[in-house]
Amino acid sequence: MSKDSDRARTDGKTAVAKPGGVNPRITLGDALELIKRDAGAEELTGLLLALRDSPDRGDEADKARLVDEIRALSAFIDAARVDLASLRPRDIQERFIPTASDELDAIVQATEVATDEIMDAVEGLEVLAEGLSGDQAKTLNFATTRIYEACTFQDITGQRITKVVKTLKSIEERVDALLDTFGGGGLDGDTDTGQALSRKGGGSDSDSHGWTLAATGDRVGDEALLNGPGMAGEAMNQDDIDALLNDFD
Amino acid sequence: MAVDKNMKILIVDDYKTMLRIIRNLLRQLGFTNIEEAMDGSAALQMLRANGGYGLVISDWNMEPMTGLQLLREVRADAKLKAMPFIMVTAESKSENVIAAKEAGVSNYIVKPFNAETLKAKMQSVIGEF
Repeated sequence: MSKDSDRARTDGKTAVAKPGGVNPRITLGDALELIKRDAGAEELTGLLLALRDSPDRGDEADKARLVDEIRALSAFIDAARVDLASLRPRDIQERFIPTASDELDAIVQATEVATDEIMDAVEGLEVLAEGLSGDQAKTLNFATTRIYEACTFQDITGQRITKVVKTLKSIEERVDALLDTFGGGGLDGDTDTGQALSRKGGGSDSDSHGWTLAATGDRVGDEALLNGPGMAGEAMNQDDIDALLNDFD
Repeated sequence: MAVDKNMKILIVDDYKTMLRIIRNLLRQLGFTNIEEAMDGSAALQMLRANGGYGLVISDWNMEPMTGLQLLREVRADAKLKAMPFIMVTAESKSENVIAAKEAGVSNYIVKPFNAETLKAKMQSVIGEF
């Protein structure tokens, strides 16, 4: 911290100019410090007035331009705070994301239980098939094989849902960071409805895509190879894979 | 030479249901000597401790040790390096296939798969049955 900046502070806080009072020497660094610690428009304006009246005057036109720009920045920050508060980040963090994660976990568990029950039943049919012969046995075995094949859906859907849960986790971390940035309850909004979220869209496709990329985009090496099932049209099918493997031979 | 259908096969997957599906499909193909592991490290321990396996069929995405890591460990182990190894996974990007091939995979099956594909890939690795 600069000596000028030290002179501008009392008890760890940046001094705010009082109209008509005696202002300490204020620097641009003090203004930036206020911005960093999320000062409100009033506090920033006070500091900028002090900057204007500082005995260490520079070019008046430059100073006025700087004051205008930082005042606009301050107004922008206040507006952003209002917008973010309307998104009710605390609700997202404490209600929506945990609820969505729980629901997805429940889907995985329910499909797993259902798949196991299907498998139990099919294994029973296989025992029955052992007592049959000819076409009847062949038909029953063919049917049970198809059921086993179809049951692989549980693995695929489980992996897809895991990807979604990881994305939700990434969003939750970003909301945490947002709340930290704006300081504790600074963004608390109403907790009665999700209207604000709905009004804002609750995450567009492009947003959601961005979150997914952010959740997975910083992985390297073997980690970057773990992406789970691909979307239709993007993933290679077995024939593509066979062709690729043949290229090695 | 005919494939010994009593050969010991190790299937590796962290989804119990998938282990059960592969086990049942293998049983329908006539293979009954099947053991299971739920991640690469458990599988590697079994391969080293028990021996006598004729084929490994492994998922890729598992913790703590992935199927790719297991494959590399197998290929780096003097006693296991010739082990037929089929990767069965939902990872279907070309970089995955290339990484697996470079690590020494014997064949690669993308999920979801059918019994016919499983049989064909097994035959390409261990011979006709």
